[in-house]
Amino acid sequence: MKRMLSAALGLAILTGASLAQGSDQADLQAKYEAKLEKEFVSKIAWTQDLSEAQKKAKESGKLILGYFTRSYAP
Amino acid sequence: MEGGALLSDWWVEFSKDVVPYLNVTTRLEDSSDTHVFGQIGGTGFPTTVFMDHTGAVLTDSWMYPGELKTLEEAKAEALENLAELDELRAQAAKNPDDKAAQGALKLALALRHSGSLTREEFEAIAKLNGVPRSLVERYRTQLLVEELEAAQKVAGESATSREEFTAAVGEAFYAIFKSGKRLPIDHEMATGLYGYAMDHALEIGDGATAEAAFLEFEKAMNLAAEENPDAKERIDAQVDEKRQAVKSMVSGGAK
Repeated sequence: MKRMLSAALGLAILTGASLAQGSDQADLQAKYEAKLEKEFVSKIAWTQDLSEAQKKAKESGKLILGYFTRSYAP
Repeated sequence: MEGGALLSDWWVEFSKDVVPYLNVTTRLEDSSDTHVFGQIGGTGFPTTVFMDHTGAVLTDSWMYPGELKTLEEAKAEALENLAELDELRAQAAKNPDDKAAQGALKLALALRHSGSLTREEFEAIAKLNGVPRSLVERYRTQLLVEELEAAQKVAGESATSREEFTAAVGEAFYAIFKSGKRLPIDHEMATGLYGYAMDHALEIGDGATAEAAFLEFEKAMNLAAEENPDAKERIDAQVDEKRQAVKSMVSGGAK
């Protein structure tokens, strides 16, 4: 019985963790979407897929200018 | 952070002559492009970098595109590096059985974060006649920088205070210096490597290593003073202080 109780507690803890993680993911998604709403994103024609950027660079003979930023923190 | 330059007219015009690629690290579980930041050797945000159509990284310096001049200089540097890479590609394509030509290309691509190279593969390539020594030295420097960064990371994870961090980095950099590894004096981490190694050597009473590290430290600091005339007085004072400390230890008959 004790073992079953421990297992049940473990499940509860895991479920709690999953919920917290889900909430974190929702928060990260919201931050990402907010980042994409920023003016600098709509200001020029960014490509957000590296393979696509490489294809365009090959076809045009231009260099890729990669700009790396983050959305999870300011 | 992403106001100013990235909203300016010159940025909009400049972007038309390149393929602008935006990579946002999100920490989302299903984010597809997050790994690219690590792949290009990125260490901080934001980072701007020029790449060719294969994804080879063509600029050594990481920067925020704060002004057009910086961006134009970086583009010129990228084009020079691309010309060098294309020459190695051409040589390798023309001589498929030439180990030096193949090795030089592999080394150049690894330096440009495009393709991997094990330590053993690197050492084998380094021994080949015909592989440009400059490429070998640049790769050796890159390996050393990775080693120094890893030591700093370990120190940062275990230290609970600034003093503990400094002591751990000092011990690690001292061991690296003692093993004979050196950075070019114009490398941005040179004063750090030699300064920490010297301080640790002074602390444990190793006069010979302190003296050897000081000589490298002095050269790197003199170069920094030349490049930053406004800071020359402060840099000279720091060098003098270290010189006195080393001199006093050596003349005191330390081991």
